[in-house]
Amino acid sequence: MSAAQPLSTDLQAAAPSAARTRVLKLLTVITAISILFGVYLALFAVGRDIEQGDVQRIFYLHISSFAGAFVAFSCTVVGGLAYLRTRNAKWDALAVAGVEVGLALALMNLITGAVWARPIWNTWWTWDPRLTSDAIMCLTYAAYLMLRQGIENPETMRRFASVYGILAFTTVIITFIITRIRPDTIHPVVIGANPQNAQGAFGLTVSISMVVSYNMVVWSVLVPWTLVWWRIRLENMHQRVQTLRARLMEE
Amino acid sequence: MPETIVTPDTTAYLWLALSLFFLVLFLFVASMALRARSFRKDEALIQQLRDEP
Repeated sequence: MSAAQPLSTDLQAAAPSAARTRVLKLLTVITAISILFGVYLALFAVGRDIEQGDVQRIFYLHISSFAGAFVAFSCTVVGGLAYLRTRNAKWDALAVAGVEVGLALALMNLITGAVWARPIWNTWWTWDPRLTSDAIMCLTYAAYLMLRQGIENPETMRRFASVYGILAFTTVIITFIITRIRPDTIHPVVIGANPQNAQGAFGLTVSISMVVSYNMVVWSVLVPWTLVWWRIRLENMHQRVQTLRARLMEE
Repeated sequence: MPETIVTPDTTAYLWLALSLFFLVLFLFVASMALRARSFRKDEALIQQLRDEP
């Protein structure tokens, strides 16, 4: 083995700067406080729904987490397109970060929906068009992560993942619009006209609209931004370790 | 005669949903923290191997 060498300049450059770390930590604190305040508003600032009881309050987080997933999956499309154009691995890091964050938020959306459905629809799950498309969306993005694990060559893996990540966004669009194009869904629409068979719908008063809007901003801007940033750093760390390992083997 | 609505007690479902919601978020953040710790250990180990004469 050769004598000890300092880390090369390109690897040192890939390491995050102290200033950026401070900004990210500050953003994380702001996001955490904003989440807690949003939960406080949902629990205490708005009244109880007269027909559904307290479980209706979960809607403030249920729809907001879907908005967050939408934004995160959009990052995957941007990352995928940019990677295919530039072949720069930093865009692939954005793409995979978008998928992991989006999948976590989509699962949070799916689980809260199932728990809400139990007392309101009298079932945990039904093969309603919206629920089915949401489940397909989650499975599609879970498959994206498995696809990445299954390809050894990094260049090939990134190229395939970019194309897959772009195409997978169709499931997000379908999930979003399906309650507006399928008349047989029972899933209510919070913003816009409800389908004719909707069960569990509620009206938007001024206070409800304000709390929905606040949580939408928190979960579709602050939360995805913070989590995607942390996940990109993790991906950069992963790439740095892989590069160091390869160089060690060469030495 | 006016219609009387009896509001159901669904508070337990609210707490269940909230718990599961934040459990998933916690698990995701914890998985990132654990992976980061593992990468830091790997990086330190590789550096240690490079430093060996």
